Amino acid sequence: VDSASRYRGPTKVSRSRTALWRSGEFGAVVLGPAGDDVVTLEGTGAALWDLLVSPCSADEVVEALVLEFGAAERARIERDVPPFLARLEQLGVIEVQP
Amino acid sequence: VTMTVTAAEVVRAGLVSVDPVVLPRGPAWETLWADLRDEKLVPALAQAMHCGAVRGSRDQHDIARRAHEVVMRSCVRLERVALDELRRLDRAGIDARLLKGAAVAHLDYPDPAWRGFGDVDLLVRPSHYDAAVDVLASAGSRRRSDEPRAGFDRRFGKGVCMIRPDGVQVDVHRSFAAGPFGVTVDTDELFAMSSTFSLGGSAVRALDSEGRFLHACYHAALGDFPARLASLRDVAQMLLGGAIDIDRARATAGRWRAGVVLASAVATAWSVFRLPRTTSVDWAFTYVPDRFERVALGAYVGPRRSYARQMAAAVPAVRGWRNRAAYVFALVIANGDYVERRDGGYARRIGRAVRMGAAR
Repeated sequence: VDSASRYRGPTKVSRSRTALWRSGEFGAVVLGPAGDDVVTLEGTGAALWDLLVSPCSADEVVEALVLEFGAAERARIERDVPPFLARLEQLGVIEVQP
Repeated sequence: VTMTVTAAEVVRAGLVSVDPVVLPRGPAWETLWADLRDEKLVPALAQAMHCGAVRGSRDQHDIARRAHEVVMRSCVRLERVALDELRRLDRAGIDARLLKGAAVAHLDYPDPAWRGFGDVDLLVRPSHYDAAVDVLASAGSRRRSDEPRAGFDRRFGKGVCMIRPDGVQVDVHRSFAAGPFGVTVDTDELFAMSSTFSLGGSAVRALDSEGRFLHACYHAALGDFPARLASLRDVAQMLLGGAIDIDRARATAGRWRAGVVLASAVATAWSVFRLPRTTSVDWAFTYVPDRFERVALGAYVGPRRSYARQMAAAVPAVRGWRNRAAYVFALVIANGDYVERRDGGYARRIGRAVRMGAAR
């Protein structure tokens, strides 16, 4: 089972309370509770970070991003969102809602 | 179109509603951009551009955006350091307050991304001061400067800058300033001015609104001469934000013999940023300092400002003759290494003290 598959279905994710972050015209910079690997999120990544201010399922994230970036981007967004969430969880900046 | 724009005008545009400021091109832009970076005002430019109060070319937006990202990457890293050090102190039973940068960014600005900072500042009680320094040192941090004699900082000092192995500076504060206005701060009352906010999932203690405002004023009025624009921006931002009980802040400053510090910071901020005068700030322009305040302020501002003058000016502010004697003794008969590094020997140190006395 690939790590991204856990975000399919009704599972909801949100920003981790332990994440440190800032948003601006540059997108968002995020830092998890362990290590000092600050990551910059731009474009769809920054838009996704904005959405995760409240718990969302991966499907809800996809639909919101398609609405913002256009239907032509749907295939790319559907492909990219689950592994992107997996990467953010690995960094410790998002958490899966119980 | 304004052909010459100053860094102060960029800050002003983010503070009050004004006609949009248009950024200059060419050498004028290069000068302005250098000033903004030097004054640590990249977040202020980002704020003003975001709100449409400052307009520029696509290139200027790109430059500001990239620089803002760099500053914010540093800020979140520093917040992680702050949380780590607060946790370390807490494990040692030391209660601390997060000061300045991170606390002010989160509590006094509408968006923390509009306030940058370059180090971590912590306040501890004098009774915990030496232990706090030891805790940081045991984790590999080293003092940037010595104290004249053991225990001087705990009794009379502003604090010490500790440099961690990763190069991050953690300032451990006992008070707001060195010299007379640092000595007159009631550190018990200061520590009681507390509020809590959430940072990275942790409940972090900071000063309350008036405590942060007092600190901003001390930093703006006494920290550098001329005052740094970023410090003055904090003062203006806090007062314009409307959360400060100015009567309470002034009463506290009065008890600490520092009414002139507040007046100077507020009047300077309003003058530099050409902010509209209202009754809530008029007092700052008409404030009449007493003799102590005039003499003390002279050690911090003007061409004769120096650390040595601040140390000397603090003598009459130290309460009790025993404390005063200990203060003078520590400065005159300081540790050999301290004297060697500062003055090159006792003879030079005493000569300097005599010259300073004669100049007064």
